[in-house]
Amino acid sequence: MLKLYDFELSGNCFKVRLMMSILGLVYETEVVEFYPGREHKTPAFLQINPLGQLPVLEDGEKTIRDSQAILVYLAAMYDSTHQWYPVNRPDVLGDIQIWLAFADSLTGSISAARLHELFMYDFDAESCRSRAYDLLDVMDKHLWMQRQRGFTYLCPMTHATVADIACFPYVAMADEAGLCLQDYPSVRLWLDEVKRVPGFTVMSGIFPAGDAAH
Amino acid sequence: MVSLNQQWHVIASSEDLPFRHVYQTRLLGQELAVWRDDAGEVNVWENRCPHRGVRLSLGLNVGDQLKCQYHGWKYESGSGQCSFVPAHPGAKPSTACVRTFQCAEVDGVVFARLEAAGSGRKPNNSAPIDASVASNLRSQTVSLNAIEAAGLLQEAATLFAPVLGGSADKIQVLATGLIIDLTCAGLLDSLRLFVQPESDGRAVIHARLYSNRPISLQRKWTFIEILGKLFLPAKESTSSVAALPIRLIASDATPQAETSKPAASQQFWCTVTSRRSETPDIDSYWLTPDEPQELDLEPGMHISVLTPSRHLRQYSLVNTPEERDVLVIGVKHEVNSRGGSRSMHADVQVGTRVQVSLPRNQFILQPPGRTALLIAGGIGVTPILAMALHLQHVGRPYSFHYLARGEQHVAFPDRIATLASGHPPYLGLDVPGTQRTITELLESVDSDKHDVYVCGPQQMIELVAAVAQQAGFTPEHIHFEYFGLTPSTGSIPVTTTTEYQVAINSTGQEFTVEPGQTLLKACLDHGITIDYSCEQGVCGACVTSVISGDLKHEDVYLSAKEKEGGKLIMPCVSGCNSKKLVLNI
Repeated sequence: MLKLYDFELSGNCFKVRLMMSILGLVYETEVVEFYPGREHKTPAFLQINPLGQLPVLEDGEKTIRDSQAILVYLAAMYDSTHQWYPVNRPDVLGDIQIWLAFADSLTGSISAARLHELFMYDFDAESCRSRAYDLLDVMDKHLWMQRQRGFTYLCPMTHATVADIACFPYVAMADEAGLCLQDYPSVRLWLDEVKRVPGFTVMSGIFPAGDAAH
Repeated sequence: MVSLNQQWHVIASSEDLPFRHVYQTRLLGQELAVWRDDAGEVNVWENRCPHRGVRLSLGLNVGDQLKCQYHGWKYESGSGQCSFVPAHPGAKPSTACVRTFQCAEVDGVVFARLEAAGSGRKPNNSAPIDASVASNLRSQTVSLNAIEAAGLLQEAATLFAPVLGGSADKIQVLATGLIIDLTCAGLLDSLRLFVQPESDGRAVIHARLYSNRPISLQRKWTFIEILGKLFLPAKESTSSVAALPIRLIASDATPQAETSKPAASQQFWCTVTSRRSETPDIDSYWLTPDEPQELDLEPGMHISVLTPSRHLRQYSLVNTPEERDVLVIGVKHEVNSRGGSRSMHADVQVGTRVQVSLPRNQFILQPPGRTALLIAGGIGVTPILAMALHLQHVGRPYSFHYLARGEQHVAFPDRIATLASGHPPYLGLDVPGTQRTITELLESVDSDKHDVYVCGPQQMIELVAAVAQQAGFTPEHIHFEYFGLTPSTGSIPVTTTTEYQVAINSTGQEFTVEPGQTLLKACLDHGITIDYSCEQGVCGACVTSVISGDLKHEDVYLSAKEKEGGKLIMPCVSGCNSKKLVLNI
C-alpha cells in the first residue's frame, strides 16, 4: 500500500496527489501539519525525512522524499504506458530533467512568496516574485515556441509528462503568491491543458478547467 | 482627434483565443476577459462578474456562455446578459449583465475599443503586401507607455532586419498611430507591429509577419530575442496586482459533473426555408436544420442565431406542437437595431444558411395544476403563443391575451386563430388603457388558481408583475421573460426624474439628488463613503440602512420582504418617491 505524508495546502504534496489520481493509484495519507503545527520538523518526522520536508512517499519498504523524485518513481513504476516518464525515449529524458529542476526553482520563488503571503514566513517576497517573473518569462517563451512546433506541453512529446505535473501547482497558484499571469498567455493556455488531463484533481486555490471543445 | 479610448487597439492574436479558454488582458487600464464562443465569435468583457466582482478570467468558457468560478452565474455570449443562476434553477435569470466592449477579429488579430466612436467603422487590417503567408509572432508586454514603446520601436527599426531577412540599411518604417509597418527595400516581406496601450506605464507589442515563403521557427525566435534586448521584461509590480476582490473559497473548487452535451452538437446550421411578413415590422422565419432531425422542443424556448452581420441574437420559438423539424421565429426590425435585427431583415432570405444554438429554455411552463393566464405585448407574443398552442394541444386550461398597436400589428394571426381560449387582441391601447385592461384581467381571475406568464416590453412586464401582486398573486406564480432586453451597453444607471432630499442621520448633512443622478452618485459626490461594485442592483455591495423615506426599489438583490420593510436600500439603482430620504449612516 502506498502511503503519502501529506499536507493539504502544499503544492508539492498536491503534485503527488495529482500524479496518483491521474495514474489511478490507491493510497493512504498521513497528515503532517506543516502549518501551524510545524510537524515536519518534529523528531518523529525527521526520522522519516531527515531534511524535514514534505511530501514523503512510502511504498512497502521503500521511502522516497522530494516531490520531483516521487513523481519520477510513480511514473516509472506504475505507468505501464511509459508516457508520463518515457524511459524508452532517452532523447526526451533530458528535457524532462530540465523542467524537474525548473520546478524546484518555482518552489524557491513562487512557493516561497506564497508561504510569505499565506503563512507569514519571513521571506523577502518582492525578490521571490522578481525571480518568479524571470522564470515565468522563460517558461512562456518556451511554451509559445512549443506551440509553434505543434506541441502543447513542456517536453517535445504529444503526451504530458511528469515535467508538466512538477511545474503545474505553483504556477496555477501564482495569484496566492501575489503574482499575475496576465503577461504569460502561453502559460495560461498550458494551465488549461494540464487541467484537462484525464484524472485531473483540484486543491484549494486550483480550479478546474471547463470541457475542451469537441 | 479621436481619443485613445475611442480608437481600435489590437488586444490579442487570434491564437490567444482557442475555444474554451478565457484570455486576460488590459486596455488603457481596463481589465478585460476575452473569450471565443463555440461559433467562433469573440467577446471582450470587463473582467469582473457583476454578482460578486470576481474576475471572469478565473471562470469557465462553456462554449456559448462564460461561467463565473465563484457562484456559477453564467453570462451569454454576445450580450453579456446573465442567463443562469444556479441557486435558482428554473427561475428567471437575474437582469445582471457583464459590461461588454466592441471588438472585431480581422486578419489574425483581435481589435477592441473601450468607447464607441461616432462612426461604426470596423478596424482596417489589410495585409501590407500581397503575402502568401502570414504568422503572428509572440506578443511581449513592456514597461513603457504605448507612445514611448512605439517611438522606441521606430528608432530601433533596423534591429528587426534579421526577422525580415534583409540588411539593416534597407529597413523602411511606416507608422500610423500605434501601428508600425517595417519593410525592407528589395524584399516582399513585411513586419507589422501593433502597440496595445495596456495601462499608463505598460504596453503590449503584438506582431504579425507577412511573407511569401514559409516562416521558419528561427525567424520567430529571432523576433523574441530582439524584443528581449530592446525592452527589459515587464514585471507586474505587486502594487498594480489588484488582489482578488473576494477570495475564492475552497468549496467552489469542486469539479463540475460533466452533464453538458458535447459542444459541437450545441451549434448547428439551418437553412431558411420560408420567410413571411407578419406585420409592417415583424417577419417570421422558418429555419430548417441542414441535418434533418426531430427537435426536442418545449414552449418558452429560445435559440441564439448568428446573424450574417456576425451578431448573436436570441429569438423565442413560436413553434406549434406539430412543428418538430423546423424552428419558427419572429424578428422585429428594431429602429435602434445595433445590427442584429437589421441584418436578419436585410440579409436573411429563403435559402440563407445561419448558425443557431440548440434551443434553451429560461421561460418554463409550470407543472399542471393551475390555469395559465398568458399575456403578450408586441413581439413578446412568440413564446406566449407557443405556450398557448402547447397547452391547447395537451388539454390544459389557459387563456391568451395579446396587446398590439393595431390590427395590422397582430403577428401570427393564422396561429392565433386556432386557439380556442384566445381572447381577441386588445388593439391600440394607450398607457391608461393598458393599465385598465391588465388590472381588469388580473382582478377577474382567482389568484390561487392561476399562473401568470407575460412577455413583451419591459414596462408592460413590470406593470403586469405589479398589478398581479396587488391582485393577490405571489411572486412564484408570476413568470416573465423580458423581450428585446439587450443591455449590452453595460449597466444603465437608474436615475431619478424628480429631485429629492437626502439626510445623513449621523451628521445631519443634507443634500439633493438631482434628476438624472443616482442616489449612490449623489452620496459619493458629497463625500459619503459607500462601498459599491456592480452598479446594477445585483451584487449587494452598496446596501445601505434607511431610517425613513418612501423607497423606490429597482434592485434584484433585496428580497420582497426586505423591500417591503423599507429599512434597506441599494443606492446604485434605487431611489425615493417621497421628498426626503434619511439614511442611517
